[in-house]
Amino acid sequence: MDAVALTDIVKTFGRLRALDGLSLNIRAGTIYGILGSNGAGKTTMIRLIAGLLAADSGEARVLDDPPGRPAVLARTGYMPQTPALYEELTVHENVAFFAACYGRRDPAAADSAVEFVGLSDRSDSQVRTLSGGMRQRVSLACAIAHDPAILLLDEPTVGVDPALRVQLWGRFRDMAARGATILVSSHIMDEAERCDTLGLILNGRLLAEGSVAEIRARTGAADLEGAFLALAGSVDEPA
Amino acid sequence: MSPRSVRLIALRVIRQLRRDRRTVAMIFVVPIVMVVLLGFMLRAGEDKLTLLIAADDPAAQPIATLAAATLQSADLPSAIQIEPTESDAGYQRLRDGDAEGMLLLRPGADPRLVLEGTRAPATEALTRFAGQAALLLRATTAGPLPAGGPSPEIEREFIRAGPELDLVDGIAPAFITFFAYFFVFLLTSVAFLRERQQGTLERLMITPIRRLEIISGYMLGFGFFALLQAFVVVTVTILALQIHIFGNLLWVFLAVVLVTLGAVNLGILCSTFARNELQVVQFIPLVIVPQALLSGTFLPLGGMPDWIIWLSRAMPMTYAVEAVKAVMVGGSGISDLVVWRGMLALVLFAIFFILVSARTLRRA
Ligand SMILES: Nc1ncnc2c1ncn2[C@@H]1O[C@H](COP(=O)(O)OP(=O)(O)O)[C@@H](O)[C@H]1O
Ligand SMILES: [Mg+2]
Repeated sequence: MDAVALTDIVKTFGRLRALDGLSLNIRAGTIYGILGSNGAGKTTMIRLIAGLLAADSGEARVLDDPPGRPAVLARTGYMPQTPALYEELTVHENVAFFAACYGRRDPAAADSAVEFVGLSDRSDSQVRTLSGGMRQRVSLACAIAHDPAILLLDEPTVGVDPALRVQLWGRFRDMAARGATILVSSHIMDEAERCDTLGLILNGRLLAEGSVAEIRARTGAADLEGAFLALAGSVDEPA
Repeated sequence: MSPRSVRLIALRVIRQLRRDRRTVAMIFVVPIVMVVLLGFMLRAGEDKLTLLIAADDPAAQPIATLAAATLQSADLPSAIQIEPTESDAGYQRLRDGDAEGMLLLRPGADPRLVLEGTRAPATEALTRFAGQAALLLRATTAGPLPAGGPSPEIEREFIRAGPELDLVDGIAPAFITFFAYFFVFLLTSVAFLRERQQGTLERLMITPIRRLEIISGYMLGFGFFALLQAFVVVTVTILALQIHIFGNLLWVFLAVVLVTLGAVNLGILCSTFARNELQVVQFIPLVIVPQALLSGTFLPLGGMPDWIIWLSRAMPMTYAVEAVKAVMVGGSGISDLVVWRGMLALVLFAIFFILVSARTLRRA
């Protein structure tokens, strides 16, 4: 079953076609990595799935409903590209607030999300006192505290140190194993290797899709970096 | 000092500002609006007072008519309009706020001045005028008015408030309402701007929380602070400025709460049109000054042209100040027209702003 299905999605900002006929499907319970350089359309696509943007044309389905339906929203977790947090509130207050907005009023839900991102010792610190990487993790905790069925992560590990990054990916795996669908955007290639399926996007279009091995095989490149460059190079830049 | 460095900075400032069209527009629009409005109001703003002339005994009514005619033709140096009336009708007009004073002629005694009472400057002007008028009438009117003798003793009667009312008493109600309005507007617009800028609003919008719940939460949260502020401001004005309160403060606080509801939503609305704190600050002269000018607190609206009256009637703060003033100075309660009409108007304005601000909180 597909947790997310996008068909021929076009989204323009003025004259710019940020998404230009994008189609892709994400199987439930898998981790889908969306790869692309800056401005490729990753954030636009994620915001569209989250229900924050409406497509100009094309069809989007999330958990079999159009994005933005209350039933879908309640089961979606969204981590924006830049941490969206209340600076004057503590880590725990932020996480508990958003969890409660989703109807999770149990403080234990917030506790375990804070623990998930390894910030239990800073739980009572105000967010304004945290470093960039820490904020990123608080923002992640806010996205997962309500146990969403679909998790949308926009470059979640930017600024997170390598050890913790490995640990977080382990946790994403666990969540997927328990049935959650995870969409992660990234421009870090080694991170992409951990996804079940990869989609490469450029100029709002899907260039290639498949498992890491498939994509490498298709391009004959030794690593993903090379594969990506090979694929991107084979497309004519629009005038 | 290198001129080149100065030029460098100046050019950058100009370039940056030119890209901020809103700010550039404000630089011209705000002063134009202010200057035109203020100019018109100051020019038209000569306070027109109405003094009724009546006799306390219906049999003596012709005397009142004669006295009014005398005063009208006497060309006394004043912008006071003289009208003869019967005493019962006169009292009614004073209660309706349709006239500021009534000179009640009494056979065989000095006239008595009945005052509406809630406007200290009007009370003062009419008291002065009544003294002159009584002297004049004594010199020109025969009959029941006593001739000669000591200068007339004018006894004053107040419909509302009283002789202790001063200028500060009249302005304090406006200050209390405007503080609540101003701070709540500023707090909400900045808080909402930050919600938008830091992305938490988007985050909130895609939780199952409803728009109206977000707005109501804001109203409740800021309403709490506005009420607290009103308590402190009212207490301090009563204690430090020793203002006189003639009515029930409960209605004052109710008005403050209603003002707050409107101000929260106006703040949400304005935050949509602001990209940064500077742009929020630019809204202040637009949302505060015209309403303050048009509220009738500093410049009485009595003699203003119709379009200014209409403009004033379109502003929520006019109703708020009017109602709070009626309570504090006039001793009115919720059953009085100005008060309940004011509250009703504030409720309607609040509903209007809630609907409009809810529209700005769209997902996609
Ligand atoms: N709100 C917006 N208004 C105008 N252009 C936008 C907006 N959001 C994104 N874009 C443009 O759309 C394109 C794709 O942006 P984005 O989805 O953020 O890329 P990515 O996340 O892959 O770096 C970029 O060229 C960007 O400038
Ligand atoms: Mg992005």
